[in-house]
Amino acid sequence: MIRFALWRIAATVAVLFAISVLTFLIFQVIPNGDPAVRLAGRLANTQEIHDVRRQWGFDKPIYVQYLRTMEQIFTGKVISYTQQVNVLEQIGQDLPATISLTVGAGLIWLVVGIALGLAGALLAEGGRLQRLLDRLLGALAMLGISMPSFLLGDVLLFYLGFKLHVFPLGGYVPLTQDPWAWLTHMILPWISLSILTIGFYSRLLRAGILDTLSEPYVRTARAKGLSERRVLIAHVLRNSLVPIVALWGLDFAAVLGGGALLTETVFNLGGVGQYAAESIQHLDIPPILVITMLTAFIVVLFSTITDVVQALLDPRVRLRS
Amino acid sequence: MAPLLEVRNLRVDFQTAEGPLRAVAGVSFTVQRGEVLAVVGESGSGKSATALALLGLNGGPATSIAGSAEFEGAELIGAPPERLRRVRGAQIAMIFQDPMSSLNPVQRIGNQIAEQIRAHRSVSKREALGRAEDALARAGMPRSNEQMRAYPHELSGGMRQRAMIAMAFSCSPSLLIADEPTTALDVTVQAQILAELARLRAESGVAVLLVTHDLGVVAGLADRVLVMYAGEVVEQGTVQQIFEDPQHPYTWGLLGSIARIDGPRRARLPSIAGAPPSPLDQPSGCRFRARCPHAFERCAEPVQLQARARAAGSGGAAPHAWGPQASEQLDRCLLTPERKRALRVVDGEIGL
Amino acid sequence: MDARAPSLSAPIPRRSAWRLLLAEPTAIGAGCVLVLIVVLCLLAPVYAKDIAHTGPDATHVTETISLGGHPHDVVSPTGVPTGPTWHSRFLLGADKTGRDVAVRLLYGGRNSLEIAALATLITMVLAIALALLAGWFGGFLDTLICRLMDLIWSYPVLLLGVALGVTLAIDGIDLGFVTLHGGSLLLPALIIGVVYIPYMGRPLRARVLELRRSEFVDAALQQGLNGGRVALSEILPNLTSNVVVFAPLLLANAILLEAGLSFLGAGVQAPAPSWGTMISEGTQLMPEAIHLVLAPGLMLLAAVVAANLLGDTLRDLLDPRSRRRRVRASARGLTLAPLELPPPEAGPMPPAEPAR
Repeated sequence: MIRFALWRIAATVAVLFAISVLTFLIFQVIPNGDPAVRLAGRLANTQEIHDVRRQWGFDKPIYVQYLRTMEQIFTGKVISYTQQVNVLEQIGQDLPATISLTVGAGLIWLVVGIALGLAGALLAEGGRLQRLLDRLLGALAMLGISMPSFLLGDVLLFYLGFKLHVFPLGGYVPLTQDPWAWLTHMILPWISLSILTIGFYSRLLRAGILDTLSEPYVRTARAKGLSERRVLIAHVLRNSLVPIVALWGLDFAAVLGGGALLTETVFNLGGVGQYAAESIQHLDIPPILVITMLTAFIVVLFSTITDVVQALLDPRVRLRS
Repeated sequence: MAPLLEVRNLRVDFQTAEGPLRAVAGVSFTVQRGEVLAVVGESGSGKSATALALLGLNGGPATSIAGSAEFEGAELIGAPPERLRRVRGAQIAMIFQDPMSSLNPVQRIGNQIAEQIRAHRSVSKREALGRAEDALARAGMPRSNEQMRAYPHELSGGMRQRAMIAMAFSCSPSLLIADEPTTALDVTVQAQILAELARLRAESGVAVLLVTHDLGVVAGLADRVLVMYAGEVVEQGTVQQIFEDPQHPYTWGLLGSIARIDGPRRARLPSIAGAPPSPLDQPSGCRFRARCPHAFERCAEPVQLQARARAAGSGGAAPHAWGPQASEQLDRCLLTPERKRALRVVDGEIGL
Repeated sequence: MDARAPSLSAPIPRRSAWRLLLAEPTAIGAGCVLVLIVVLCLLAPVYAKDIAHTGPDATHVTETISLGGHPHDVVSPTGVPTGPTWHSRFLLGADKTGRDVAVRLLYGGRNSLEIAALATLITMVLAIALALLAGWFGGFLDTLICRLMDLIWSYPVLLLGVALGVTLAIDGIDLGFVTLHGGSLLLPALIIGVVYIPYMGRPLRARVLELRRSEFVDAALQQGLNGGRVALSEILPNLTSNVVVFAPLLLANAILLEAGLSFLGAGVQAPAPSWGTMISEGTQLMPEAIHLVLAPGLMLLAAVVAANLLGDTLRDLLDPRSRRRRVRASARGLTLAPLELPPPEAGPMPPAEPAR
């Protein structure tokens, strides 16, 4: 266990290092990424650009710049180029919206995905009409997997927001300020973000359940005289859920780390993802660097957690280093 | 006395993409209380399908089970699911072939046994676990107290099968269906498990329906034998009758393919040439005739399971305790008993 | 396995994957839709010239069209473009600068599909090459390639794509042997192609490893054949079914990622159209002109669904496990002889990292 923990910590550091270097290189080595030009403004002359370069240290060797930026990040003093605000403070302000989005959508796609997957598997085992319904669920899932979140978001916003006035037109209201407004602002983003994952989980779980149903131990469970409900929940569903748990952890982490750029932008949630999208468009390196590292950190953290959870769910899985 | 289980004209059909498939084509037999009835045959002969059909375990939208199976006077085929559920595990228990895949890999052994006890007896979880531990100990599991918390993959094959046996005996069933209970085990472990089964059977007086292709297991455990081929019973009789005076050429072939340690070493272990017919396309008449070296023109006629050995007056076997009907030797071959006796001896042994 | 009840002793007759595919109505339907969309988009110049009588970039802000005998502004004085007219001109309406949406839809589709197809090709070539190198030679090279793919995969895909897209879009990139200009379609194709390498490369590598240990490869090596040639002559052909399954799935994912990149301004650069940029422009004009979102949106959805369906059906046909699943749904407890095709992969298909 200790070896596992130590190994994971080392791996996390390695991933963070690699990602920060990669990000830094993408923006520094590529010629027009030169931040001095962008900082100095569109109308700046050579002298001004030169001054900016000196002032921000862009004339130093690249590894010096990298180390300086890393130092700033870990001391919490990293400043964005364009708005010149503290990046960590900005992310701290954006985090509540992203957490609201992630937790709500994560719960929705887990619960609905499991429900639809179970329903699909049961219908596939049924008669002609049930199998037809299963195919309908399959078609819906296929549509969900193929639907870009921003397209769904646009359509939902237009019909339910602009036309019917059921939901507000985007933006974020803190939960502490007005819980009801928070909820109404979050529902459409939750749906837009969940549809894809629901489609994927439901089909994956359906396939897993159908595979598990033909396992000999399920026949044993029936031969023991267990009720069909108990067979389904304690033996079939429980064993089929193990891979879903692992996926859920990673998807949840990706969104929590600001991965939902498109959804946050469409609904103007002002979360970490939207901050990332805006920073990229302005080639504002510090926020991009911090957010990619944040995402990577959260992903590694959650994949460690899901590894542990998986080992608890399935005793055959051993935590390896 | 009424038999414990009376099966009449059992049929199992699967609906497949290639058309309907009759896996079991009208099988009838009885199991008396305390008796061990072995069902033998090659894989694909329908012996496992027969056993599973009794409890509706090969059910599903594409499977249809027809015929009758009366257990303790109540019909099992077509019984409502809840009634069937109460029979499963409590009155009729099953042991499966591969204890590794037949036990849930992510649950502890003790919980899996206790779960069965709780499905049939209203006892507390703690009480059920206590009984499960007793059952493990009775099935010869060493350190049963520790093994309660083991997962299947932490046990050896023999220990896993002991856990399956403990589970099967945990609710004191009156009939045990053992589907190839030793096939997946090492040879040395097979003998231990068989001895364990024989001991538990003697202690509890449970009747056993033993499905196997291993005639050695049959000789050691069974009272009577049912030989199945291509979904039909081709011969039935007491162990003595089947081993000493087999009537159907298929049975000869099975007996001839046993490797004997005490017998003379033969250059090549004889086997039955060819493969069973496709269940999608069964021939008329005797289903074995394509592989039978003694086939003649009448083999294409429909043939019933009948007492033929006694018709010649030779008897062959001593009268058995299970009454006249059950002990009668029946078979499906039209050759005369005299002819059979002449044909079945190959190199001084019974063979094909 | 006798406990599963009778096994079919007569094996399923050997049929080619093609004939199996043609027996699937979903596959035929999906294939037809995909071909139809491609053909329509390829015919964009014909449609523009002979039906709409305008170009993809021609603006008609100040013009009027006649609708039911009444004159109608293409773009109203308040800047609202006309919706679908269902006439040959402005069939699907106009955008804010008075360009014909139907014409741009077809030209945009051409760009979107071209990028997606190129990206798919790039991913396939690089993923196969890396998988062969890693799986065949193993050791340090394997570790290096695996870590590289892990790195690409743990980097948020959209962030990586957008980052590359924005930096490169301004001046393009000089790769030494070829210079890509800022507006080149090759840029987004290259970005998407690289980003999806692990998606295909990791399962392929696992398959190569599996094949590497198989007996027929040992046999070929023991005959004294050169290792590299064995890799190409024995292993590569056995990857075919895996590659066939991945191609349509990659295409679908590439279309989606291109739309996502363009939506964020890092894909196809204005004034060139693509489905993603059109949706993005439509979003900015949102309450007044939903047709600017719906027209490219539905077209994109149709193409992605068709490609995904095709990939799914192919996988079902080629993966014995999912084939068994389908058969089982109709006949539980029956073992069928598996199709005589190699399994596409060892584990379940990993999800492509989606653009959210």
